[in-house]
Amino acid sequence: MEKIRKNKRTIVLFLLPAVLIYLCFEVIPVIMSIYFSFHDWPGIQAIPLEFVGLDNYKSLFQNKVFLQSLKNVFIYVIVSVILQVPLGFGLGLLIHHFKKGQRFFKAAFFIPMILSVTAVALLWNFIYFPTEKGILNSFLIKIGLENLTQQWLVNPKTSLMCLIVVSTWTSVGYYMIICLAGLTSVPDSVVEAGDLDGATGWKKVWYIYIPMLWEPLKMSTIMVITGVLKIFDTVYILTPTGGTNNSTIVPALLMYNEAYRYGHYGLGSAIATVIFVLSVAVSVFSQKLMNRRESVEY
Amino acid sequence: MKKRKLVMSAGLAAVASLSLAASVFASGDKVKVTFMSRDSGDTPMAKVYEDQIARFMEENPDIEVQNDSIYEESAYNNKLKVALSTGETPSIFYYPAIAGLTEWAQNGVLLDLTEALNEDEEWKNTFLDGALDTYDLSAYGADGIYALPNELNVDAIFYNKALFEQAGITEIPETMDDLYDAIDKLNAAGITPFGVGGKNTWVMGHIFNNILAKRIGREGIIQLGTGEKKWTDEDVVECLQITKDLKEKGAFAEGFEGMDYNTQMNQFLTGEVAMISHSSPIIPEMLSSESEILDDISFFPFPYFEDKEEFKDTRVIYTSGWMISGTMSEEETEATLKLVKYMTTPEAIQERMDAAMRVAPYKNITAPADAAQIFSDMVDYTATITESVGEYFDYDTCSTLVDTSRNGILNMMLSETAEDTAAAIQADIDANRP
Amino acid sequence: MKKKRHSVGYYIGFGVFLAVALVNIYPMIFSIFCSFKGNLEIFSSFTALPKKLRFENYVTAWNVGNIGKYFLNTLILAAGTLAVSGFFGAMASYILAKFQFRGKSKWYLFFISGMMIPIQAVLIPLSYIFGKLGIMNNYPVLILLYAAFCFPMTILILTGFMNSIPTELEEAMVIDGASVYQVFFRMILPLSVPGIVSVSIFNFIQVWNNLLFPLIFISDKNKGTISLGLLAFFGEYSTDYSSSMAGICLTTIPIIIAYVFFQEKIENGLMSGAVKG
Repeated sequence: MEKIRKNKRTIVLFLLPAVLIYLCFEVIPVIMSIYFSFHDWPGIQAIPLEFVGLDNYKSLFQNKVFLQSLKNVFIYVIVSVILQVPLGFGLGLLIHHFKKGQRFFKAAFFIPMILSVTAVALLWNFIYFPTEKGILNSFLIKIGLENLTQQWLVNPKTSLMCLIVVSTWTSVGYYMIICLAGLTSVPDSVVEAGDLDGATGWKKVWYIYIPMLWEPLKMSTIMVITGVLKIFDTVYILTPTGGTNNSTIVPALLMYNEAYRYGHYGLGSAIATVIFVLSVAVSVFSQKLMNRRESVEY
Repeated sequence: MKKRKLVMSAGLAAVASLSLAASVFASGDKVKVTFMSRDSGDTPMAKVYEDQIARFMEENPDIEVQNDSIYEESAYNNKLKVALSTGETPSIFYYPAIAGLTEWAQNGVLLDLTEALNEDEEWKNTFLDGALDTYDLSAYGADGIYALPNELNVDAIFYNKALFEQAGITEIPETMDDLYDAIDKLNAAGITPFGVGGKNTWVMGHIFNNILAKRIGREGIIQLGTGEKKWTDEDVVECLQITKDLKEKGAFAEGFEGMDYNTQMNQFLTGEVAMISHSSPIIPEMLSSESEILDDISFFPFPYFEDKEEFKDTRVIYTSGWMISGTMSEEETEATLKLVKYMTTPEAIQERMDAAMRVAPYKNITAPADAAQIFSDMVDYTATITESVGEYFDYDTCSTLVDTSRNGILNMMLSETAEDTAAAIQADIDANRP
Repeated sequence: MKKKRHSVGYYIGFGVFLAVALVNIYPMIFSIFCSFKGNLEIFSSFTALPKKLRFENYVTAWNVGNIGKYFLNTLILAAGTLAVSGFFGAMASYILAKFQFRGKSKWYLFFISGMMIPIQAVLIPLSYIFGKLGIMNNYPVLILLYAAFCFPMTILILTGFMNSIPTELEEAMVIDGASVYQVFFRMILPLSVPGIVSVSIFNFIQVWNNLLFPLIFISDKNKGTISLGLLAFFGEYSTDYSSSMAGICLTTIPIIIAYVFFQEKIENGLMSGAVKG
C-alpha cells in the first residue's frame, strides 16, 4: 500500500487534467491580474502599461474608503461565520432528526440558493422598504414595535447587518447540504452507541455529531470566509453606492468601480490582489485553529 | 490496463479540445461590423434597430452586422470595458461621457468623424445645428468630433394635473418660488409633491444638475468641468444648499433616500405623488404602462430663479451618441460608416421616432400625427430650446466625479452639510483629474 | 433505534421548524405571485394576491427571454461542467486525500486558493487569453472555463470527504489484488457520491446563475444562456418585473423539483454496489 501511495506516475496522472485546466483558465489570469496591479493602465488596449511599482498599494492603504471597506468586510466575515455555519449545520441536523418531510425541508432551504440575484434584490428591497409600506416595517407596526421602524438600508447603523442577513439567507442552504452529505457517512452504529450511553439532545450534538462532522465544518468555514471576503453581488444590488457614508462598502465593490467604471485598472487589480492575499491568510489561520481539534476517525 | 488508457485519454482531452477549439475558429469573407446599443429585447426601439440592420444586410450582402446591444446597464458596461481592454472595440457603441472620451480619442480608440462629415455635406446637414459640437473634444485636447449625437434626453418635471387641481394649483410653476409655493399647497392638501428614487443616485444628481444649470448657466458648468471654477465656490455650494433645502421644504416622498427609480415611477403612475423629475425617454415607458392617470400627465420645464433671469432659458438635455471605433481596418471603417449613414437617413430616423417616441437631434423630424399629446408637446418643446447643457460631469475628465458627487449629494440629503459635500467633491477632483 | 413514540417536545420542535421552513419558502411564493401581477400592481402592495392571473407574462418571458432555447443551452453547459469538474476534481482529490508526496499541502492550497479570486478580477486577463486563441462562442472551451472555476470548491469538499473514507477499506482491496484504478473507480468514487452530488449542486448553481462568462464569451444569440435571457427585462428607464419574475419562475421551479426528487435517487443509484463502510 505504501508503495502505491507514493507512486509518482499515479500522482501525476491523476492530478494532471485538473492542474492543466485550472492553470489555463484560473492561475494564469490571476498572475496576469497581479502583474497589472503594479502598473498604471486605463483598461484600453492602445495604451501601454506603465510600471508604477507599489504605488497602487500605497495609495490604497492611504485611502480612507478602502480602509473602511476592509473594516466592513471583517465585520461581515466574523458575523457570517458565527451565523451561517451553525445555522446551516443546525438545519441539516434538524432535517436529519425529523425524518418526516425531508424533501420539503430541503427544498425550503434550497430555494434561496438557486434564486437569481434579481429575485433576491426585488424581494429584499420590499422587505427593507423604507416606509411603513415595507414588509419588515409593517410587521413591526403590527406587533406594536413602531419605534423600531426605520430606513433599513439607508441608516448606516443597520445597513451592514441587513446585508449580512440577506447573505445568510441565501447561503445557509450550502452548509445544510454539506452537513447532510457529511451525515450520510456517519455510521448509524456510532449514533446508536451514543443512544445506549444515554446521550441526548445537546450532548449528542456536542459529543457525537460535531466530532463526526469536523471535516465538513472546516470546509464550510473556509467557504464562508472566502465567499464573504470577495462578496459583491448582494452588496451591489441592495446598496449600489456602498451605503450612506460608506457603511456597506466592501473591497470587491471598490475594485469593480475602479477597474470597470473609472478606468483605473491597475488600482482595481491591486484591490483584487489584496482580497486574494487576505483570503489565503485568513483561511490558513482558521484551518490551523480548527486543526487543533482533530477529527475523529471511526 | 484499459482503465489507465481511459484516464490518460480523458486527461488529454482537456489539452486537445483547447487546441482544437483554436483551429476551429475561422473568419468568413464578409466584413464584420458590430453594433452595440442600450436597446435590446422587447422594446420598440430594439425592434426597429433589428429591422434596419436586417434590411441593411440584405442590401449589402458583403457586410455582416452583429447586434450586441444590451439593455441592462452594468452588463453593458462590463462587456464594453472588456472589449476596450482587449482591443476588440465594437464598431459602433454608446458610452455616457463627453470629456471622459478624451483619453480614448487621444489614443485612437475612437474615430475622428470630422473628415467623414465634411465629405458628405448632405449627411452632415441632417444633424441639428450645433448638435455635432457636443462631441467636439478640442477643448480637452483632442481635436475632432468623436461621436454622432443620436438621441436627446430632454429633462423636465412631469406632473399630475388632477393632483395639482386638487391642491388648488392653477398655474404651472415658472419660477422656483412658484415651485416652492406649489410644494406647500400640495403638502397642505396631503399630497406628496415629488417622487424621488434616491437609491439610484442619478435621480438626485439630475435635480441638482438642473439647479446648477439655472444658477450658474452653461458657461458656469463648463468652467466647473475644466477646473476654472471650483466646487467650493460660493455659487456652487449655494446650489447644493438649495438641493438640500428642497427636502426641508417637504418636497420629497418620505424615505426617498432608500427607494429606487422603479418605485419613483410607480408612485407617480399610481397617483401617490404629484411630480417626478425625469427626461423625455420616460414618456413611452409611461404610455406603455397600465396607469389610470395617463390622461392627467403633462410636463413643465424646470423652473428658473428670479434673481438669475439670465439663465431662464438654459435647459438640461442629455445627449447620447454613437461612438465609432478608431481601430478598424479601412474596409471595416468604410462598412461601419455605411451602416451609420444608413441608420441616420431622415427616413430611418423618422421610423425610429414613430416607433419608439424618442427625441432625436436631427432636422425635419416631426412627431407622428397619431402621437400621444404629451410626446407631441415634448417634440415642440425641444424645438424651442435655444441653449442647452448636459450633465456637469460630462464636461469633466475626472472619471470618479460621477460617483463621488452623486453619492455625496445623497449623503448630503441625509446628514452632511453643503459645504462639507462641496469640499469632499473638490478633493476627489484634485486627486483624480488627470 | 426502531419505532419510538415521540414526545410533546418533538412535535413542538417540529412545528417551529416547519414554520421557519414556510417563512423561507415565502420568496418563491412571492415570486410566483409577482409573476402573475402587472408592474404597477407589484408596487401598489407588495404582498397582495394577484388581482387576476396574467399568463401573458409567461408568454412574454418565454419569447423575449428566449427561455426555451437558453434553458437547453444552459443545461448542456452545466452538464459538461459537472462532468469535467466532478471527474477530474475527484481524481485530484483522491491524490490530495490519500497519497503521500512532498508539497502535498501546497498543492491543496494551490487549488483551494482559487476560491479567493473575485471573478471580476480575472475577466480582462481571461478575455485576453480567449482573444489570443480566438475562441468565442465555443462550448467545449466554456465548459473548461467553468470547470476551472469549479475546481477549488470541488477539491475542497471532495478531499474532505475522501479523507474520512477509512484507509483499511483501500488496503483490503489492494490485498485482494486490485490496482489503484480499480480502487478509485470501484470504491473511492462510489463512496464519495454524497460529496460529489452536493458539490455538483453547488457547481450547477454557479453555472446556472453565472452572468459574466456568457456575457463576455458568448456573442452568438443562439448560444446564449438563461442568465443572458433574463437580462432582457432590465432597462435604462424601467424594469419589467412581472416578466422577469415569470422568467425566474420558469427557470427555477424545474431545478427545485429536480433537486428534491432526484437527489436521493442519484445518490442511492450511484452508491449501490460500492463497498459499504
